[in-house]
Amino acid sequence: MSTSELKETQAHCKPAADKIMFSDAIVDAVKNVQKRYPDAQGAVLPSLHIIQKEYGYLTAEAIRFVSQQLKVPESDVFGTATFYSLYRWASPGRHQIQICHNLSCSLLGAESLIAHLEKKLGVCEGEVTKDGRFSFIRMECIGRCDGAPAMLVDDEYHGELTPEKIDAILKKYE
Amino acid sequence: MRHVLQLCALLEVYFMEKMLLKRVDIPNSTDIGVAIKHGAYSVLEKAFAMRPVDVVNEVKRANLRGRGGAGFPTGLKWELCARVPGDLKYLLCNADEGEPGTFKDRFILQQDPHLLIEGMVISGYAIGAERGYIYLRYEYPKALGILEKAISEAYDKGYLGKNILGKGVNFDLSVHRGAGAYICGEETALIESLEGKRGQPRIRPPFPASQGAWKKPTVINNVETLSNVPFIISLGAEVYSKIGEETSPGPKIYGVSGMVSKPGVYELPMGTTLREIIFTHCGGVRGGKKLKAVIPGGASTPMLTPNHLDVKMDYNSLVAAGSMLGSGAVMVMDETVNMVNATYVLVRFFAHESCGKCTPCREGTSWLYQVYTRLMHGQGTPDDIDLLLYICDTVKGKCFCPLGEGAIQPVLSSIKHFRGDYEQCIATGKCGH
Amino acid sequence: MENTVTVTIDGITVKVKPTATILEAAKAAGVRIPVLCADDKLHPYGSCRICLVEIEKSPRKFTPSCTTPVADNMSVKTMTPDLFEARKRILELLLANHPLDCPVCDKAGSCQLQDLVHEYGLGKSKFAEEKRTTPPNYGNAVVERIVNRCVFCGKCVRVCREQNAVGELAFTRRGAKSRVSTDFDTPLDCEFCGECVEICPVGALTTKQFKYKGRTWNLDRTPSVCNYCGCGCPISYESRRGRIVRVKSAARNYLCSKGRFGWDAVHHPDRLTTPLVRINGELVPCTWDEAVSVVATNLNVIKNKRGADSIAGLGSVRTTNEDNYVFQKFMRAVVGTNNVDLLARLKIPKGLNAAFFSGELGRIGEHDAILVLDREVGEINPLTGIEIIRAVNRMGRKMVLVSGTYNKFHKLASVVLDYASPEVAIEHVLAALAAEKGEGDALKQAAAILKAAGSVALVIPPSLYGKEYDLIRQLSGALKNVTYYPLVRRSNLQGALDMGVLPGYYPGYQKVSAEAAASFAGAWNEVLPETAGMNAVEMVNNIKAGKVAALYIMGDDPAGSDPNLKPVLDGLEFLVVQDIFLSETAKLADVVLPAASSAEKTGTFTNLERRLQQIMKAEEPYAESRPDWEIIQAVAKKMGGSLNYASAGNIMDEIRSVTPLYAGLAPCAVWPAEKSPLSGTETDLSLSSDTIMKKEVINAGRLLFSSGMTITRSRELGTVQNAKIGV
Ligand SMILES: Cc1cc2nc3c(=O)[nH]c(=O)nc-3n(C[C@H](O)[C@H](O)[C@H](O)COP(=O)(O)O)c2cc1C
Ligand code: SF4
Ligand code: FES
Repeated sequence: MSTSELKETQAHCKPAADKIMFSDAIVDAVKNVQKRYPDAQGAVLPSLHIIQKEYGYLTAEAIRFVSQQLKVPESDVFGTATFYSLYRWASPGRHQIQICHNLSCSLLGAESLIAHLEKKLGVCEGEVTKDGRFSFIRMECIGRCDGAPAMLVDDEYHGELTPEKIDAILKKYE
Repeated sequence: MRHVLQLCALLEVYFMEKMLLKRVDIPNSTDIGVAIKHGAYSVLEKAFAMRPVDVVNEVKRANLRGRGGAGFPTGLKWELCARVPGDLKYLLCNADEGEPGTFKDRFILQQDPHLLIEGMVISGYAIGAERGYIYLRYEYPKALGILEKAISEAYDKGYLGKNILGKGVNFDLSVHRGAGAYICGEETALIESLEGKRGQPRIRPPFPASQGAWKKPTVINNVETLSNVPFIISLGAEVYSKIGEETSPGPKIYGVSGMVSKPGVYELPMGTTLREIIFTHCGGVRGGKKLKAVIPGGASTPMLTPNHLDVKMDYNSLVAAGSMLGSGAVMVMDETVNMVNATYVLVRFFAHESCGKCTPCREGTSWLYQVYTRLMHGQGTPDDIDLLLYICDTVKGKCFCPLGEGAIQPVLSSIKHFRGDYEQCIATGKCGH
Repeated sequence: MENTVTVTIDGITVKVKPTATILEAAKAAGVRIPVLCADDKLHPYGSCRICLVEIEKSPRKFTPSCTTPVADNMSVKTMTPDLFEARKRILELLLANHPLDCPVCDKAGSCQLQDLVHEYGLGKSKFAEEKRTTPPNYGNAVVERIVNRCVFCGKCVRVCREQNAVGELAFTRRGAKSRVSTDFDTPLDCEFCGECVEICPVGALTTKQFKYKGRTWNLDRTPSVCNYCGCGCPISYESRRGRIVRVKSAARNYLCSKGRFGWDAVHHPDRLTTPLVRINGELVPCTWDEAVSVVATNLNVIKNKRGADSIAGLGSVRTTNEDNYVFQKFMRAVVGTNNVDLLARLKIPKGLNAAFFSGELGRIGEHDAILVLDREVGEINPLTGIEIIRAVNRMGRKMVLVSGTYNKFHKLASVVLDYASPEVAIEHVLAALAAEKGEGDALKQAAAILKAAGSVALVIPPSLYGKEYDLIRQLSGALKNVTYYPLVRRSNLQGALDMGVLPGYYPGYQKVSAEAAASFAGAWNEVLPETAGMNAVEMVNNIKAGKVAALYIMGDDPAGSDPNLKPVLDGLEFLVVQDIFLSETAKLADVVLPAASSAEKTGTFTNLERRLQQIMKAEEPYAESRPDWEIIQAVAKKMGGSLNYASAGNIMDEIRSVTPLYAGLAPCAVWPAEKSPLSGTETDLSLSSDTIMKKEVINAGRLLFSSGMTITRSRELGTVQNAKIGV
């Protein structure tokens, strides 16, 4: 067991200083997605997804923007966003490694793979490599137990992992 | 003549390997043209020729039970919703698939989205819902793209939208993406999340069937449940209900993972025994090792031992055996596994996923996690087994939703069946495998 | 009750509505079930799990009583050995991560968690792990947050959302890491009503104002009434050794920031301590005897030299009924003039107390529809705002809002009519009602809602002039069963009007005439003038014209409200001002008399609903200040008048004897509109002027709290204001 999993992620606690101006495309996308719901608040999750997809993570600006667009109090948008574990609050690496540590994967060696990753990348969970190429987080079951141990790199699944296989996979990502 | 036809259908069912997974191995199965060639959307015509109430009754007679975990009779749920007056109703597909060990829905979502869409159109027609959402977990990015493409194809071909097949049936569908929260699989938490809120369960009553999404009558069904619907309509309830166990008929997708030779999804008649699943279909325990423990239906179902191998994998039989079918996610552990470690992993999961609303679940799961962490660090004391049981007893029967109740199952069952592992772990300070 | 079910709670059988929860049924049966997260004000939530009960023949062992509806013939046990143990376990869980810092917790003694732990005799906990800790508090104005003490009942979050429609607080994060906070834990930026503090069952939310000021069991409690606006919310002064340390709501009722935190103005060092007289152009302290003599002598001299009508008086909408009654009686019977009025009449809706009367605030929710003509309702009369929210959120009423800019009421409204002024909006609504179709969708919808409503609540702006008044009259003709809810800024406006601080009316709206004069002369044992006096506008004009030489102002600040009045007041021969602070007007006075605040005296108010309310003395008058009526009585005596009351109660007895409206009026009762002589007439009690008080002075404090000088002296609200404007 690594120590990193006991460490609390404090990321939520500090508003990122950088201001993001939201492009017209984002404003339109947020307006459009509202049409799917009978009440604007329904668009909170998708709007946050749109912003996260574009900028990689969420900021105080993002929360305010969504709050104003959807007329939902800022504290509610923040409360909702922080409820979910996959909104990010700090810039991730160019590629996100999401490695499963739930039972099926853990039975087949997920912990030693995580140790391998930490050593190879030289970072702990939640951190970004110095070259900005990778960040990695532990995931609860990613629904790839048939290919355990498994991980997602960005939107791509990789299963039946071994340390060697991981090394080969990571080479493919710039 | 009718009988002959039915008999043929029946035979077809018996000899057919798969229903739900029939198209998943076909190349390009997600393409609507390919899917249609292999029978997709062929049942709509028949369904729309029936009155909605007849569709509901057919599903009722087929005795379809929800595949999401609780096994609630689908027809009954539909009837409750269909009976509530009102024009605006919602049909929600639960594709949150968050129960650890579960991946069966992924196969339908990624390989045969048109089966699900067809099932949803028919189900919407039955309950009087013209709006549907698929609540898809964030961790399925592949499925997101595939579903969105499939939905747009279905709109293009007129299987979604206004006046489907020119029969005056309307059904709109979109995907709502989750953001990483197991609790959103619970149906009322799912609704909250759809509405843009924290995914915390709601008080029941009112039940979603009368006041669900945006306070409108709502039905929530699992992906697999909805995918069964076209088959019930095409085969007829009578034929369908002959498949599998009498009390919970139909095909069931079992997802097997862990230490077996061939992990994967297996569509088998409901009620197939655990032994058959593991040893006949999955090639037995990996590396010829000895079986130690099985979790039969996902993380929140109590663990079983090799003594339970002959239990039938259906709702009632598993309850009789002291566990639950849950999502049908079988997790297999061999003799090398230390059960304290395995339970630690699950407890960590539940502590991470507790929504934090009610006292017993929030405080109980985090307390359990603290104790297990201590055990894993070799800092257990002889009193800890009793302490764990005490905490479970404290949580038991008091939680707001089933998550908390589920969280104590691995603890209770592992202590019950594998107390030796705990004693050894405490004595030696070594709990890994 | 027609539709009821029978439920047995601990052997006691009760009949309740089928929608009742077990908890409500238990209440009806007189059985107490412990709760933490349940509250009558809020929707059931069911998070704490303390309220578990056992239902006979239920498949579940325990059932939460606060969220479970009753069923016919249900039999419930609220206390069994298992339940006792279950609750004890829940408490053990709640305490596991609770800091147990009761010795320094301001909530100790009135903490529901502490009380329950005591009740259940919880001894040693099995919890021996490290406690969870969250940074203790955040830099907030007014509210102290100690997150570790939180029990996650969510009442603060819910009260802010459900009752106040603000939603400043939310649960953030998840599971054991969740906490109540704002976005990114930034300081509160809300209405600062402090309702979250009031409703917190533990010490997670307390006030900075009360921090370390006393232990709750050592406090004396004095029920009284807030005097910051016309709603007149019941409050309880809590004091320690004769000094107020905090204000709480008296009956678990809502209080706004002014009501809860603004009281500390009474301790402000700017309070007047002694009477002041002007000597060589300077105001200098003097004794009461000296001050009273100067006032009496000057008034007598002017009266004798220039006639009683060269003296005028302005009463106060902030002091008590008793003060105002004595004031107008003094002017009429001792000075001998009907020149007595209220400056506030320049800022009241036309038709108030004649064509329309206010309905009871607590009954707004009984109307099918509510038409809100002033989007600032929440700032002007916070309680009215809260009642509108309650009508919508709890009773499902429809609300039509006239508003040009977004505020929290938009979300509650069924329809928002986007108009900056109510005038045009009403015109269009009238047209839409007549045409059965409006121009826009919104108008059509609004007309449909209003038309369908069996009764309508009409919330009208605090100032209402001719045109709007006519339109509103037309509108109520077009609708069914309209009840008016005029907004009234000043706290005792109604009372001051009722007391006859009006040039043309004696107390109780008895018109000045020879007959009435004779009748009051009999009761008061004095000779009274028989013709109406000057109103406030005429007073100003007559001061300018040199016809009014002396002005006696009790508790008002014309120069502060309208700086243009300064030179006018300067033209007076003699100006007396009675106030609690050295107001702009007091600075111009020849004699300044320090008055006691409403926390320092006993008496009554009549709020905008025409409800008679008792205020009670919680502290001795500040320094040498005195209740207004006592001061006036002293002056009257010195002038040779016959005023001689022993107490405020004495005065009220007399008010009852000369004023039919108050004759049998029980405390807390509302006087019936039909009893007023003006009821149903076209009488206009409002005044208008093209020059006076056209623009009220708006400083930041007024903008925020829409109240005068007193509120700006509240230190606590000052911090709020600074937080608001980002100082
Ligand atoms: C904590 C929790 C998690 C759940 N997760 C899922 C899930 O991921 N997928 C699912 O289909 N049902 C899940 N369920 C079950 C749903 O609440 C619900 O019973 C189901 O979606 C109903 O559909 P069905 O009747 O078709 O099974 C979950 C239940 C609980 C209590
Ligand atoms: S702060 Fe108080 S009222 Fe708010 S959730 Fe915590 S305990 Fe409840
Ligand atoms: S009072 Fe019922 S759960 Fe809290």
